[in-house]
Amino acid sequence: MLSFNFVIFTAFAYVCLLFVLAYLGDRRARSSKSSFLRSPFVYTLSISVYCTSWTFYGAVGLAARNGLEFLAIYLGPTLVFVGWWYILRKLVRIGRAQRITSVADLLSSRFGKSSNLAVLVTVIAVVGTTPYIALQLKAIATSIQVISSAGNTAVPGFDDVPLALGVAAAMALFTILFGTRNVDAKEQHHGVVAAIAFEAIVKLLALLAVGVFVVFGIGGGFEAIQLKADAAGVDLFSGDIFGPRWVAILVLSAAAILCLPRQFQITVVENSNEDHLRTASWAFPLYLLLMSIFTMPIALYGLATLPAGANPDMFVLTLPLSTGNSGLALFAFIGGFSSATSMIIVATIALSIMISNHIIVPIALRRADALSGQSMTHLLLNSRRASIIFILFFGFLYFWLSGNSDALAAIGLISFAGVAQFLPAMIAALYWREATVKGAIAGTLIGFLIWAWTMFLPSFGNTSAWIAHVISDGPWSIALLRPQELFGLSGLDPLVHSVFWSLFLNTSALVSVSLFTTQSSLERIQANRFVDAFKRPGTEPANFVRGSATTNDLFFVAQRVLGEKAHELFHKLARQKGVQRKELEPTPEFIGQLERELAGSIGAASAHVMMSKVVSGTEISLEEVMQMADETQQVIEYSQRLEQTSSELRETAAQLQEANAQLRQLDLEKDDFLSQVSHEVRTPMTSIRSFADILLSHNDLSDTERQRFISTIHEESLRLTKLLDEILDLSALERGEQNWQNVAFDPEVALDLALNVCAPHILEAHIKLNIGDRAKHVSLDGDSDRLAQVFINLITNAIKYNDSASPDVHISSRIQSHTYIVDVLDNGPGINRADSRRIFEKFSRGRRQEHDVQPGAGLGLAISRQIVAKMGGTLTLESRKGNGAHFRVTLPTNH
Amino acid sequence: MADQRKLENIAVALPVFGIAMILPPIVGVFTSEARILGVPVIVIYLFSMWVLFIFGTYMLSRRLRANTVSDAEEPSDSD
Repeated sequence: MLSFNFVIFTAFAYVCLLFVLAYLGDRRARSSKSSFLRSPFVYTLSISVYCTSWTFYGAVGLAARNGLEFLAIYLGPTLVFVGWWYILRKLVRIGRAQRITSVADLLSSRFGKSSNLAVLVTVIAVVGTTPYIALQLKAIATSIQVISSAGNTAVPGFDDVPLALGVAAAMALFTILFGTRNVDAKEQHHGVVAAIAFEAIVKLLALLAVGVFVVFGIGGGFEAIQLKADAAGVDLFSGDIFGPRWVAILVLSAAAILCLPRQFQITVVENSNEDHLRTASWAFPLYLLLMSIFTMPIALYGLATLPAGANPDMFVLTLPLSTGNSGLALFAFIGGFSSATSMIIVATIALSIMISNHIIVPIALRRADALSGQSMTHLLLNSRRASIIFILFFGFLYFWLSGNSDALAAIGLISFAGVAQFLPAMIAALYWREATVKGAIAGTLIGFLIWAWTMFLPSFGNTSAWIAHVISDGPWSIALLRPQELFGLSGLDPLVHSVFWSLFLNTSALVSVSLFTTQSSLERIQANRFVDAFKRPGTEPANFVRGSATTNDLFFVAQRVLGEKAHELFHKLARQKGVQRKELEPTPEFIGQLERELAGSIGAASAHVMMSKVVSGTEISLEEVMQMADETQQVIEYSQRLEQTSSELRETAAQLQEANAQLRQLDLEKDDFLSQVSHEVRTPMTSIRSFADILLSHNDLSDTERQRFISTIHEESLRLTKLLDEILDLSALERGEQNWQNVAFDPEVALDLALNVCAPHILEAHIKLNIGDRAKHVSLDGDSDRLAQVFINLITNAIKYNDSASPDVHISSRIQSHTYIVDVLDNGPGINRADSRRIFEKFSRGRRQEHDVQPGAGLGLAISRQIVAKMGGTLTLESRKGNGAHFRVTLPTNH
Repeated sequence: MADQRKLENIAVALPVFGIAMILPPIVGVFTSEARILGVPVIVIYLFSMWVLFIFGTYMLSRRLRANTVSDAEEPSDSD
């Protein structure tokens, strides 16, 4: 048996240990940034502030009354953490980016930094949380009474009121010491988190110890306990608990892990690294699993063995006590004590930040001399300290007044349902761009009122006859307004009834009011920042505040809020911009950044009010925002046009380059042509000149000699004329200036003409001429004489260059799918592959010109090709096996 | 190894699947009188689902990539 004084002393020693831990934690966090205090496991353990004494003791009680229903309280949060990637991660990201200090700040910041919404959320949080704090006090008082009393008799002289007052005072001292040490750009309390993490380990170990003791120490295993319970007629599994109430509790607990001020404080505000969520996502559900694994066996064993009437809520203590194991009972008591104190500490910090940032500071700011008076730092710290004392005193008062009534027993779920009213607005804040502040206020307010009427009020049913009357008959006997059968909805569990009506009307009001109201420009900007939290990492749009404040004015404001830390902040901001401290410019971007930093201390709404007091500019209107957006759009379009133009320019440049290369090539060709022409002209000219010289200077020449020289001069001049004719002809063809007449004619006639012209040469050269198949009834557009010229050229070439022993030339023509084809083949030496491209160029003759009896100028094929091209056809050298060349003329017919 | 997009889809599917598994009617299937090693089937079922969620989230959290921000990476801290 443990004496009352010993238990009190133990509790006192434990609280002292917490002070030391928090102090060391604070100091350690200050000295090094990467200490284990910032590890993901400390973060996970601190999240377990979710498990209060209500779950430590109450889960067993709930299991003893409603079977597995208690699991829903753990499974809801488990599923939220399983889905961490979408909700929690976004919350934490936004919380860090926007320097969010509380759940009220989150909603207020998203909905245009609205003060009204912040106040509403703060009030709901205080109303919902204070009874919960009272519940913790009651749990501590009850557990001390149980553990220090022999059996169920009350300890003489024991009064739980001063005890609760003492606990509340100790907690107030702790919270003030470690929760309000200073005002930071981030509301993080490493000392407190260290203490909370330690408490998380204590309560887990205590519960596991009791569980192992009950199951394996005295119970004899899971099966034995089950059998014992069966024998005692205890059946906790038969009722169908998986109905609407199961769903409602799942929804409530899932909402609570997001919306409870203390959870928000730990999960979002105290988060020092977004990546810690990665570990918490599975480690926190694992923690919950361990916390609940022995709950059912303890309940079963307690019901089966302890005398009827024993309070199931205290089985965790009474089972070790009943077997005289007071050491374990003391450990269990410390576990329960630690779960109660951790909840009180974190909830009080979270609430005090909300009260000071959203209620006290705005009131102070409304005073005209707010910025010229005493430093805001003192105001902030003092208002927080006052809030802490107020909250704890209020909690104590609630505990004192409600006395031994049952009003506290159900407060756990009632509190969950109260803060669950933030959920619709919170989800809208993260995902619905069009949600307006009016919608958020309407939804939250209606949800809160419905909750207060249908759930909070009935919890006092046993303490007041008037409330009992309202519950049974409705106010002023209006049955439709009965709290537990609102609007005539009856037959539901009161919890389900209240959760349904409050969340349904809350969401409906949020959606419908949002759809019928419009957002202010600030709301729209904030909505985009929240909804697109992942889309633009790192880049913050400039705050749309234009103004004329100087950097000094801004510094003055920052100093009011942060005190000496303002210097550090300005140096930091200057460093980020890469300028000296005094070169800082009060740009809109800088003002926005400063506002966010201040929001980290006093909340978004208050920071906004303060900044707008100094920055004498106005916020720009929605029209101006739209105009800016339009301008942006125009700039984008303009740059797209520029891009298009520049790509066109690039294309043109490439074309120009190509043309230039062609020109250069043509220039080369021209030079080539000129030099070749000169060369070709020079040869006959030289011979004409030298013969003429001989004729002039030698008078003793015989007549025959003279005759021979003159005829040579004649021949050479004829050749020269022919060459010049051909050059003129070719250049005329190339320039397209020739009098060209395209008339329909029969190309076979031209071919016959060419054969006739060539007949003497053929005879002379002893060539065998083979005429193959000939086309019939051909008609095409072009110049008959010119085509004959082409054929003559080809046939002449075939004769001229044929050095075969038995030379022969083969000529044939045919029609093939609207084209007229003439082939000229010889059995001469042929044209090797290297020359095959060159022969159509000007002045290129085949090889062996040195043997030529009658060398041409080398323009024949070039001219022929031009002629054929003019008529829309081609002149090609076909590849041929064996000896000889094969030329082909292809011309389109006119059908 | 699944790519990031797949993993993000799994990150949605897992909680949705989890919700379905612990709500009626599925949960009703296991509310029978039968016992395994003396423990009612429904208890075994709920706890094994729970372990499954934890394991699935554990596997997922090790593979999902994210561009995260931590205090240490920020240029300076005032505390």
